[in-house]
Amino acid sequence: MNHDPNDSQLEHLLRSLAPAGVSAALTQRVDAELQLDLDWLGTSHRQRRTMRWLTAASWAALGAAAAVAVMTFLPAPPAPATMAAAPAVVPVSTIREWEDIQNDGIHYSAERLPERHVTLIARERQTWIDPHDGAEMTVEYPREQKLVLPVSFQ
Amino acid sequence: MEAAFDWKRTFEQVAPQLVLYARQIVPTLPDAEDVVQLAFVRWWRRFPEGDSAHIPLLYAAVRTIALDQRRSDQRRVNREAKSDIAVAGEHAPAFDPLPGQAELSGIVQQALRELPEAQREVVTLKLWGGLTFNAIAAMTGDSINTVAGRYRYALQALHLKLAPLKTELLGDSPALHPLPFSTPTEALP
Repeated sequence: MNHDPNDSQLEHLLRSLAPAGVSAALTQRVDAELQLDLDWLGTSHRQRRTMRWLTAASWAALGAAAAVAVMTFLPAPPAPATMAAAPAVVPVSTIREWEDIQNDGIHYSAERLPERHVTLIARERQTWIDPHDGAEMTVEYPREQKLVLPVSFQ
Repeated sequence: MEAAFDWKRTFEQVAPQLVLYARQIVPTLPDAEDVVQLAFVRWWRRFPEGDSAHIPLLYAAVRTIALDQRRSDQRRVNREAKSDIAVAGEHAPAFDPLPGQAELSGIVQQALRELPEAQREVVTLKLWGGLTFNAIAAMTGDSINTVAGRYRYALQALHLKLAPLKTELLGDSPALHPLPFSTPTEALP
């Protein structure tokens, strides 16, 4: 576009003029505004974690567990046609925490083979979300699992 | 925390050019700094890695915000008289001249002010912003030929303004005598 040597000379001359530096006040204003962003992000993360693990794990778990318990004794109402198309709640997470392992000793099977019986005690926390309104429901309950492990004696 | 240092490095590199560009659109230095603050923060939120490939978008943000501000300022100025600070801000130095460049700096600043706005914008973006004609055309919505033409006419006008200094600055070559064109500002807006 620009092959005139005079233009190149002129461009070089003009470019040699440095734009005036910005004031310290401007840098401080930008700094303050971006710092606000960082503060906001930090606060937001803390709030989110608190909401999830304290409120949801206590109040929602208690309320939902009570609701589930009551609903098991009630006859199920006929589901509306639209319920079949979209699930009422969507599972979000299942967290299992092992609390204890009980050794129930050596037993012998019907074939007279030795087995070790072990009981695993865990606490399971399941979370669902209602896609219609975003409501989160968490249920926490104890869980026992019995394992039979073959053993051999030498 | 590392991001906080990154924005400062990027800001130091681009802010003087951004302010110079904003000053071609809004009347005073404080106005230009307000524009640059808004544009940079908005741009940095969008591109926190500060990739230089996105610098043209930063200039585009400056342009949009500056034009908006000028529109609202125009309404205000129509109602109120200009303050002394605003008047002083119009004449704040646009360049940071090296020793021996003071006269050149003054002439260029005055010459830029006298250019048609469209030419002033292109020459600022090209020379000090380092943008390509393509990027400028994309920003202004004009064709690349229009942008290149404006640039050419702006250079011619600046050449004429700098003619009194040409011997000491550019050398007195025959090609620097008045160019074989009509008055540059007549041809294009």
